[in-house]
Amino acid sequence: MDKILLIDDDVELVEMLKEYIDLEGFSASTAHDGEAGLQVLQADTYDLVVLDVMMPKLNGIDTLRRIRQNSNMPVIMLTAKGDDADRIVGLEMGADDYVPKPCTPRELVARIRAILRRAKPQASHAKTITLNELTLMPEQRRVEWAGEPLVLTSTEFNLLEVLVERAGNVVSKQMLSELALGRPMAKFDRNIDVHMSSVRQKLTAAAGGKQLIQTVYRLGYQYLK
Amino acid sequence: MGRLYWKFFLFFFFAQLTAVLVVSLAIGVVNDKRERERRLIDSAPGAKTMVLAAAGTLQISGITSLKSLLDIWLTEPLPQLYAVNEEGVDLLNRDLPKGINKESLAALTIDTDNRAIQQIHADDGHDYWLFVEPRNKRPAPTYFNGVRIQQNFKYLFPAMPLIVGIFVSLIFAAMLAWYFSKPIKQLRLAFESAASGNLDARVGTVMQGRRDELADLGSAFDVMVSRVSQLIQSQTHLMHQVSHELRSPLARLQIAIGLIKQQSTQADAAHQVNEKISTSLNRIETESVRMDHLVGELLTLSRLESGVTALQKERVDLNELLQELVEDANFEGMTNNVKVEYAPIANVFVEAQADLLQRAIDNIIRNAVKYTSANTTVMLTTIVNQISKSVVLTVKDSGSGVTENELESIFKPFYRASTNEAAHGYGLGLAIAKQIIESHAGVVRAVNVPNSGLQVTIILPMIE
Repeated sequence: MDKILLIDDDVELVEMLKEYIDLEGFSASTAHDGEAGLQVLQADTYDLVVLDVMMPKLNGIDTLRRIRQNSNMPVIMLTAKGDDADRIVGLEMGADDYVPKPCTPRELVARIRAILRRAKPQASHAKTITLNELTLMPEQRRVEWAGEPLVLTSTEFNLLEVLVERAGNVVSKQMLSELALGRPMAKFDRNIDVHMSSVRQKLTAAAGGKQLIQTVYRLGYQYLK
Repeated sequence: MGRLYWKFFLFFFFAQLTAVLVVSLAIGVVNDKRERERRLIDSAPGAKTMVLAAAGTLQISGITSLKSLLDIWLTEPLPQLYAVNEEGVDLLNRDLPKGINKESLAALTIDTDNRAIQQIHADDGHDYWLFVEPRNKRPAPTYFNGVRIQQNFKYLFPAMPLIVGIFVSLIFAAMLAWYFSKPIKQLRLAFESAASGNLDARVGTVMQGRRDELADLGSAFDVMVSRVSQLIQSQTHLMHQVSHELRSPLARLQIAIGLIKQQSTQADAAHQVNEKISTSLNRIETESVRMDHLVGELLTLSRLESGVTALQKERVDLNELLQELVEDANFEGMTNNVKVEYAPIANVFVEAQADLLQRAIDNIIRNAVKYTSANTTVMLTTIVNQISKSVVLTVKDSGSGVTENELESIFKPFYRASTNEAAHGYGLGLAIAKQIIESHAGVVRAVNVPNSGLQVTIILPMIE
């Protein structure tokens, strides 16, 4: 059973959500602020964290940053509706996806499922892919550049995998969203752009300045062979 | 310059000019008289005293005494006093000063103050004219060979003072007028700025250093605008807070609904009751989603209005933005067989925050799709205006239009048009669209198109 950690300062909401998520076949734990959440994470292993952005003491963004210092586990942010700034920053900090609050619990669970599914190595993509210095190992969900490991979040890995599998071809943002995030692209969604920017940065840094991912205007992204 | 300036200027200019002229004239006349006198005889108080003394001596003691007196005076450091008879001969047989002769003496006696020259009938039977010689011995040009020349108008009409007067008046009048009209103009500009929505307009700094009633007026203005600005800000802030606060209960509500639904699908007793509950639950969920949507819109609007978050503008290809919207709108219009037609135009760029601008235009297009009659087409056109460097976007529908006097009101939040039978008003869609467009330095307007419906026009500045 997958273990989910919910970090949100709205106590009543979090308790209800825990109940819901448990009934959906997960095992949910709760924490009511950033500090407590980090402590819980240290004490036990979790498969996914649902993190509210607006919290007192340590806010969502800072909590995320601290999590990312030690782990690339999947993180879904709960953002305030209409607050694009927080959303973008969260994604830049390494969150895998975001869900606006309020949302129906059904939506949240669907997201959790989608992200979890893609965070696990999938039997269908078992083969390692090697392209020049890049080595992508889907079953271990690891990437290496010239033998050095490349640290990517779950979603970032998915995106890179999709591109590399179709290297030399342009992949549309829609497809990237569906395959890597498990949902269609929403209107005005900068999600994919932010994730791709992060992937590109990390890859370029590891490759010593070489640009390997190309943005094709209006069409999508492409991994250069 | 302004009319007030010219009024001030001309008034003071002419006032000063008149004053200068009048005074010059008066002085001129007086001086002229004195000048004339002084040229031939001395008319200073000292001279008058001497003439008085001489006249007194002649009248009381006779001609011999006068002669003695004159002799004594000749030894004193005094100007010479002449006693000239009707033949033009001096008592002491001195040469007469230039310009003095029988005729001029006669004229002088009439013209002059009779203390400067006196005509006395002496005891020797002669008439004597008593006067003191002029200090500057140059003759007056008004007398030439004893003949009085016509008064030269040049000396009656003071040219020099006039020119100086005009010049000085001009300067001072201009300065005075400027001193008053400038702060008034500043105030006017500030008022206009505030009236057009800029509540940051202040006059205080501009009027710095000035201490008078106009400066007080400026201060009062600043206080007023500041207060109004605060009031509006606190209202916007309140709206923002309310929307924000509403979100938490809404979030909890949705989870509670989700829980019931979850549990009710798992229970199996009383199948019919479950159905009823299920329907109601769906209803509740729909309504809470609606509320949630509304709260989101309110937040967006209040955020835009308060200008809290600065726009992150970038170069946006308008065509690309519109293509996406048109595709989506066509999809949505399928239920009523409504199409959206758009003639693409290339190389049109605007400086905008892409997602906001897209949302604004999307709201307007969706509005058109919603209100156009079934089986009709919504037309989207773009025109480039090279002269004003702007792009004009029109969205035209084939609906029932809007009453003329409501064309502006539809952009107000939650406006409900009178022709609108549908339960929903325009909500916040158009209000948000207007706010976004205006914060991109654009303009949005609605007009009715005869035989068609409503046409919404958006004008945005273009960039290269």
